[in-house]
Amino acid sequence: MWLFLCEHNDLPAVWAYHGLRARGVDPLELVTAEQLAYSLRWEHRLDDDGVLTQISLADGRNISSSEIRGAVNRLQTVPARHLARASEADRAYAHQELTALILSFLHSLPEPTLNRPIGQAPSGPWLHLAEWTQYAVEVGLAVPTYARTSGDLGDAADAYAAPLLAGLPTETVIVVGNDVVGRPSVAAMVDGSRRLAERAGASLLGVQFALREGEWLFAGATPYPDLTLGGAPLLELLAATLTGERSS
Amino acid sequence: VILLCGIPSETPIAMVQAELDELEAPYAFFNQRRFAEMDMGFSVSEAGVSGWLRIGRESLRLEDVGAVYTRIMDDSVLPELRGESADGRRRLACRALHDTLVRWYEIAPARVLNRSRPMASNASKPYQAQLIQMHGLSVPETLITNDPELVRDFHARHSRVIYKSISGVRSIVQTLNDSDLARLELIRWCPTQFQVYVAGTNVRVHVIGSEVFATAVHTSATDYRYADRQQDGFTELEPYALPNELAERCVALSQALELPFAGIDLKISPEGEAFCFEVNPSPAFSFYESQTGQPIARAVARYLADG
Repeated sequence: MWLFLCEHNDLPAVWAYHGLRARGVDPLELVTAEQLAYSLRWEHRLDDDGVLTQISLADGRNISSSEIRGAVNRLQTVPARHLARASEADRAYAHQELTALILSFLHSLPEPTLNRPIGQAPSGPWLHLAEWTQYAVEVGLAVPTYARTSGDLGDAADAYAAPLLAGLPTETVIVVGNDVVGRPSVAAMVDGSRRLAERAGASLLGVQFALREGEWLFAGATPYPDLTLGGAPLLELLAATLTGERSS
Repeated sequence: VILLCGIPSETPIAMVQAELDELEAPYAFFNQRRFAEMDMGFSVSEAGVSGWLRIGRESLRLEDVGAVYTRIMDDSVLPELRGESADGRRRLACRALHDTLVRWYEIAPARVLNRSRPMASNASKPYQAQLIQMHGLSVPETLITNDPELVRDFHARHSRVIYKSISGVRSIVQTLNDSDLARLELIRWCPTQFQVYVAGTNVRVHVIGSEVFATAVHTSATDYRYADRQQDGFTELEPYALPNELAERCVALSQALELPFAGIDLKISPEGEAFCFEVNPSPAFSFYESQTGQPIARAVARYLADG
């Protein structure tokens, strides 16, 4: 069994799920954040032999870690609506506990898993643009200057997903393990994106570039790329990675 | 220059500040309670990370900061913001200042005790336990479940079982007893973490860079931090001679977790096996230093001054 973990409204994930099944990745179970969070039964054991997990979903499916052969993990949140009737303090506590449990489960998934939790981010590097820009510098990508001051209040200062250089022509490549899907205008973008994913600890990463004054510059990166941008070549690569024909 | 971040009266940071004074090492203080007197900015480019921090009338080039010690408290509860609305300008300004500080020290080319992202592994104890196992330390047999029957079976198979939080939320470690077993149905609402009780000596290991300070904790309580809540409860601390091989593993673990300053909670079983419960990424070392005289604050100050 393979798992495809995603948010309930992650349509590119649903597209990829059907594409992977059509390519023989079967049985492939699509499990949303809600289905995982609202599971009826959890058994998560840790001992000298490793981790064993058994989950009974509310829709009747059972997930056993011993049967999992790999996963695509695009979880971003741990829903808590089922805790709505608890007091505010109990709800906050139970939500943190459930989040901690799910992080541990996700970390225990076997190879190949695209992506694993990093810190409190459930599925790979969820970094601020300042960190992405620094990483891009470290791996030799051309970057625009990122700048901020403490006078930048509100949303503008909380830049996780918003790309730099908005409004310019862009190209996106998607890194899967050591492979890159996409045909960027400049070959250096391929190698740089691969190094960026390695630097960030991502086995699945979308990297965006923007064209400014004739130069392609790093504009942003995400562990949740729009998978439809990769088309059939991405599905072929994901299928080969999950079934072990390509390394993650 | 060294940047201390937090509230000056907080004991650990005050102790480090005093040691920096002794060493005559230059430092500046990002005093959270004086947020209104500070602002800062930084940039990232192919030329590196640069910026400035203004504290009152003084201005500091961030490129000159060689080390950071952060004991940042939740800025939303600063007394200076009492009565300020959630979207009040002073509150937003305070938040933006703190966020800018954290964004900068996450990528600053300086020694930072500790950066935020690596600290997050402590938000899930079983997740961190898997990382601990990967680096050669044992962890207690653990069951996390919302199924009371599994807990009864786990309890029946082991002579003593404890339970505690899964997340980084501080909880009092409790021994599972008959009254707990009688209310086990409650866990159906919230999966709970149970562990085999490990007998032996509690040892807190503070790692600072490659320096190690081990403290044995003799206690009457399941959770020594709360021994004083028990009648006749006691906790006694003394320096502990950690075997070299175990000390090296602790240093390697803190490096692997990217936590140059770490408080590692061990239990050494009567057979000499070391079990690791967790790695605290922001250790309140002052309790251990005040009881044993171990020069932990001096080691932190030296590490910062060498940055």
